[in-house]
Amino acid sequence: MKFTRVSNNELRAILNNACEAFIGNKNDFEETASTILWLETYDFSGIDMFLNHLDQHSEYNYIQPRIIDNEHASLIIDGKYECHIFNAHLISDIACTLFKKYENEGLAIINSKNPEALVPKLIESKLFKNYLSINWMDENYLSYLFYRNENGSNLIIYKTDSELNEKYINTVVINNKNSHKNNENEIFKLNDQNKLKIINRIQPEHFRSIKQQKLMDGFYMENTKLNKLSSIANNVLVKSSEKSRLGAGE
Amino acid sequence: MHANLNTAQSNDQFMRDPSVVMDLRRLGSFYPYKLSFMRKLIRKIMGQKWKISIDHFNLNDDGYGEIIYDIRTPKDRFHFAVFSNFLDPNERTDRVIAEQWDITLTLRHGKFDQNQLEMLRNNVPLQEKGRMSSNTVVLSRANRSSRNFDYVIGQLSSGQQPSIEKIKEVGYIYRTTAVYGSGKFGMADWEKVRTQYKDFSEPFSAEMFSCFMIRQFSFDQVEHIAKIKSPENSVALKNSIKRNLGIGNATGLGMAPFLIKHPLLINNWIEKREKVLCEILKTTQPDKNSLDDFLSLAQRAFHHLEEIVSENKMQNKINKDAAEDLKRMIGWISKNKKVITNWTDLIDHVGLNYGVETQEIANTILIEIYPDIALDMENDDLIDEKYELMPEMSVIELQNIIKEKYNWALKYNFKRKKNNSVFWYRSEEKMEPRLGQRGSDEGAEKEMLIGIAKIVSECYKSICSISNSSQIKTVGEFVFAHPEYRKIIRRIQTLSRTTYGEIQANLLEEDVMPIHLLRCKLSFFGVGKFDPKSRLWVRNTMFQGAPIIDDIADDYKDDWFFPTIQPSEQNRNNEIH
Repeated sequence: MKFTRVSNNELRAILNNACEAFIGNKNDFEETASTILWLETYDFSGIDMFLNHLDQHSEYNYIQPRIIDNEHASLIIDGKYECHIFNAHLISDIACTLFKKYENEGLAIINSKNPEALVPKLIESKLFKNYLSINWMDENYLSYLFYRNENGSNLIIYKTDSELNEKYINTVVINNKNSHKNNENEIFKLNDQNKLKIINRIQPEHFRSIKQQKLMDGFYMENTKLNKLSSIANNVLVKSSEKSRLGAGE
Repeated sequence: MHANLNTAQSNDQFMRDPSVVMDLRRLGSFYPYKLSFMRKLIRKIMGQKWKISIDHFNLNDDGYGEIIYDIRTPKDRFHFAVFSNFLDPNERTDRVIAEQWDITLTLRHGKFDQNQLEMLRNNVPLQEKGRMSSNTVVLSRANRSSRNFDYVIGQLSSGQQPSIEKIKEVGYIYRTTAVYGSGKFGMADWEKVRTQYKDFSEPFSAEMFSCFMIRQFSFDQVEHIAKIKSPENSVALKNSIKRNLGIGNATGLGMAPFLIKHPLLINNWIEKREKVLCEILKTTQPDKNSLDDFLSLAQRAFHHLEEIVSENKMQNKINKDAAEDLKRMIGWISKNKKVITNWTDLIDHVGLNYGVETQEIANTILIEIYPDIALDMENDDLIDEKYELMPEMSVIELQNIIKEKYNWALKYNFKRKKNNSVFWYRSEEKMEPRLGQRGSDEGAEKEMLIGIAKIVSECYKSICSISNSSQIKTVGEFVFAHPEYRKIIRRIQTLSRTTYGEIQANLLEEDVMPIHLLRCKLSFFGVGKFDPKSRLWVRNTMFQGAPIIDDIADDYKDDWFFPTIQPSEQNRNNEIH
């Protein structure tokens, strides 16, 4: 495989154009681009997520998530299996406004697709400034926990093979109140302490260093993927002609 | 209460209202000032006494080949590499879409060896088609001035200095056509430059420095060719002539979308200028000395305008009118010197009696004569360019913000053809921004989001259409149902906390003048002598009057403001090799 090194700004520009080309004015394409860039920075395959979606959908249409329940402890939203790179910002927005209105303490998203795409927008949100835990299980029964404590610096992701109930597949549970004594071990007790096996644990230092490294050295992108993304990005460009050249002042 | 400050009032009686400052015509009348990026850069180079020398010189008899300059700052080291190649004069164009240039160049951090030189030889001349390393800061190219290059060599090789009259016509030997930084083509990201290469931590300072170095290369190259042509008779370019030569630049539409896409940055630049002006009006009073200084600089500005040579009729009229205004203003001040007791009276008089161009010249002069006040605000506050949505804001509050802050945008009726007549797009040719006629040109479906007034109006209408019984009460709920307005709403909310972020003009109207946007940005860079080639692109001159590398060891007087060419200089003796 051949790779090309691209800078952070360069990748951001390509992603912005690719998202603008696909989404247009139907949604906030810059937010989708920034979510993809965040995922890519921390090795969560954001570009693959985007390209997979485009393989399955020839055009973008906004699928509005449905609010199922907002008047109980948890706000419950139906994600309608729309990839979260396209609606994470809107879910974060609506959670901010409804939590305040109904004093919710948690958010559950059913029929969720690509839950990791929720992380960047939720950690930026004022609502989750003091405490944030995001818990989900993928189709392979691997459960994930993203957790940040009240000082905002403890950024950890666990990937475990703990056996959660099957009903949690494609469901994301998000909390903004620390009801677990601010202790990550306590949180895992909720799953299944005895069977817990941590496959991957990412320490906050890793998050910091990986971002710094990408800012300093850029991203090594597989050429095939970069070309595919660039070709989508190029759809924002207009074919040139003698007449169009006049539009730049010749 | 004080009367006008160019006609409208803001809350602070000395700060100008955004409706005055952010008017497109006024923005297009800005001049370089004390805190323009080139002025700041030169102050830094001179103050820190950077050491700039030739590390590697390999030009052939025709001036083709390469020169590598070694740049040592107090704590760091950079290299500036220039590659000069033959260019068929028929291929020489200022357009960004060009594929070949007379010279290509790069600024990079760190030490330099043969392998790196080979890598640069293979990539720098390709420009957009090449790939650069992550310690590369700037990539650029330039073309010879067809009027000056051969002329200057001819003069030097025959033992003569170039004529001042010729330099007045075109004040440079090379003209840049694009200067790239900020991570393009694999180069160092801005964040890396800002934090790791601190000599260039000010916005655009690395780009400006590269232009400064092109100017130096132009001197080294013409002297080299002249010497080869006539070893016995040739003379070096006199330092006094070098200072009068700047570096040319051609700027097109690309700068216009930048201003629209970075309103927080623009707010920072403009607010700083306005704050300096406000502080001067608040805290200083004219006396004999300061009025003499003001008059002396006004005279200089007058001569500067008189020296500008342009084929553009509109620009010539602007310069002529401003020069006449300046003459009248100088007369009025001279006559009323004893009764001018505060600067506000003078600025108000200028506002009421002379054109916008002259008003901005007067403001710029005023800032120049109080350098300490300007320099107090020199250090850039870092701008975190985030445009975040405030979802918990009520839609009523948002509606009120739009009514108050975007009143100017709501005045346009976009059903009228003339208000929605053009669209902005990116061409497949190097992504060059272009202007198209709606209804007749292709590409409207790929329009860039430049028409802020139109999008704000549409968003406002949509908000107003929410019925009282609707569940939608907050911005978060509104964008959940209407994600198409989320981007503009976060812009509106963010800019509601600023004063000068939004350019108050409809950029989709039939007779829009993008040239004003270009000139506004260029003035903050420090560029002068604007020579528009149409309403869409402009030639200009950078660093004219600035010190040269040979001056770095000397004491520096920061006085290359409204540079003028001194007629006496042409009569001095030639310096011999």
